[in-house]
Amino acid sequence: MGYWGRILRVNLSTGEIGVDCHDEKFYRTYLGGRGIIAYYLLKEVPAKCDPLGPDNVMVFAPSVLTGTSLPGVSRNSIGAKSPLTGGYGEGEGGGDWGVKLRWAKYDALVVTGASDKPVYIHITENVVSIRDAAELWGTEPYECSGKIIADIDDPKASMAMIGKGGEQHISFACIALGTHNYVGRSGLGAVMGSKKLKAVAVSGVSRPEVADKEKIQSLSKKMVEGYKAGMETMTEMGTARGVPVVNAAGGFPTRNFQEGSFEGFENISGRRMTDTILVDRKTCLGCPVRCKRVIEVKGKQCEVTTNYSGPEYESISGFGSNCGIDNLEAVAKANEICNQYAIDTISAAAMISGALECASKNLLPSELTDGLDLQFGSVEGMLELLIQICEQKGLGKILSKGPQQAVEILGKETEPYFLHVKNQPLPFQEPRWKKGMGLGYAISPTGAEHMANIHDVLYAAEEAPSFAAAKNMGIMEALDPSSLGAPKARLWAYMGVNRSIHNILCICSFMPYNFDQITEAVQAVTGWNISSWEVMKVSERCFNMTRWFNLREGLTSEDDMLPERFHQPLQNGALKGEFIDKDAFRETLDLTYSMLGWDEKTGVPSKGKLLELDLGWMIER
Amino acid sequence: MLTVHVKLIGIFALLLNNRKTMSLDIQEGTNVIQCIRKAADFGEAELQRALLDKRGELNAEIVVLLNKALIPPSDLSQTTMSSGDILTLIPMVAGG
Repeated sequence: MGYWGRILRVNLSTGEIGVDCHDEKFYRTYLGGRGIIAYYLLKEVPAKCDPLGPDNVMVFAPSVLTGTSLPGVSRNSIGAKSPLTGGYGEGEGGGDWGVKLRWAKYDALVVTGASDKPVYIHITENVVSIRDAAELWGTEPYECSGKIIADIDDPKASMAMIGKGGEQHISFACIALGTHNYVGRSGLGAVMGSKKLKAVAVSGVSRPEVADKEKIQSLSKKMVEGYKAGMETMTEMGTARGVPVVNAAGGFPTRNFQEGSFEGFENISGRRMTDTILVDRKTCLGCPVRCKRVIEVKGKQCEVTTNYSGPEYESISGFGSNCGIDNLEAVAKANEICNQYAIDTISAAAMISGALECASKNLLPSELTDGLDLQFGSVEGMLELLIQICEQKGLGKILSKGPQQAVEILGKETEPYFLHVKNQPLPFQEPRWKKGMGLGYAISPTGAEHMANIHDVLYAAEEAPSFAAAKNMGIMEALDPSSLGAPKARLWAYMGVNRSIHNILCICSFMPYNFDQITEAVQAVTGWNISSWEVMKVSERCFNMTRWFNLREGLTSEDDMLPERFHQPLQNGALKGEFIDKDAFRETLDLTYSMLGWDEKTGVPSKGKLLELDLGWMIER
Repeated sequence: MLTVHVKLIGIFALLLNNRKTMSLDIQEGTNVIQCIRKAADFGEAELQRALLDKRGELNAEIVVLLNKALIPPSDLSQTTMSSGDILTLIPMVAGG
């Protein structure tokens, strides 16, 4: 139970539609999400292939938990070789797309080849069809969604769609799951665009059977109680609820990470949003948190409709403090533009703030900057540059290519200001504050990412409820967020690697499942006598698979580096003067490799480690 | 009057010149949020802004423990302090 044993395959070059059948061993070995994605990418993507060519493979993968009545398991992962990093690409999003796929009796979707004309795929339990999307090409997700619903006559269908960002192969184009959730990172929208695949619509109604309904009910009750104890303010104020504390801590990225404290923080906080432009809250299927913001700004320069979700913390810091902007309506407008074109808000904001700093140092040619107000704090400049990115014009067209290509065009002297790891622009979590997060940025298979990563503050006090998860793994002492060294390497090797279970099982990070409860959930759904040890091994296995994929594509330990900025001191705030010591960082990284069973210099997994994880097939390939 | 103790973790201690604990004399019947407001008064504006919003309500993403037991935000004004109680304030910012 817990899986259908059927993975749908659609070849867009030939129009062939088929099904891969898998047994318990497969599902127990990979579980879902990242596990299934890494498996297919390693098996089917030719090494060094063009990520925007027909040989790239896209995998849409929920997990064995998706579509059950457990709360916080309605997400799904999407993966392909990333056009942004050239390595393993993956992102996750909420909503109900993964649920509907599972209710259509498929455990995942693998898309190969490329169409020569715009198409969309419609999946039902009995029929899978590749349909013409000529009239959808050029539409934004809101319009696209409405047209598909009319075409297939199913108002309950769920959509994964690209916007003009993906159609134009913008390097950080994303995928909309409905109109309120986005798979933001790794440029997967561009891969979908390269396949001329506008959307995948799913109509599913058959809920999977579960092994132990009572256990699921009991776990669900615990999650709702746990949520009430700690997450009520998430419902009230959304993911930007913590802005005042982040700012007080000196970890609120400001003016392209030059500073850690923003004077206008109160104007862009979650509280401010709740008090001013919030009109409703939305949620993923079956989740009580309701973290999604529905906002509206009427009759002003920055008019924003309720068609898409409002900005999350990342977008608020990105288009707000990191661009020196304390105007929430402008941030909301930028967020809406990104959603309309379906591009990643984090990457777009990071590229813009990099350009603003370059402009402040007169590093940009005047023919690209004439007519633009490129000062930190300029709403007009930020929005104009964003439109240029989306419409592929002027300086924006260059920024849309991502950090490394933008630097190639704009000149080497601009390199220090476009902050990235493996060409994935940095999220807005300050690694000089959370140094374990910095370690994760370096080592993550998708480049700088903040989700399958550790937030050091959660393990900074033994009294904190969140520390219990670390203690459960045998970590007995709390660690200073700004520390490095062997204890931090150990924390990452345990907690960091195991955080990827959220991407494997497609669990929301805001649901307070601890590791044992995650295991209980898998047991309850599948009926397997699976242990936490075994689940942790799945995390480790998938982490090694994604590492192997990157090594195969030519990435090395030299790519596991942080931008130079973070080895320089923060210029203001509570952490003024704080920096990441380069030698200590490298030493901690080498130790982490070593603890993971990788070569401590090259970061290559040892043969023994791969065989221990039952990945012998991967070595042979 | 009652005497209670407040433990400040991480950034909150840093903003109070690395002072990690304080003892407060409070009136009988004082609730948790009132006690936190009193603790915030000990610090400079930075500590007050880190702990409380403009309305004097506790900022989000702060974990409050009373004698090691978690107090949900909605219970802060309904939970009264007793003599010898230890209130722990932990910043928990994970973003999203």
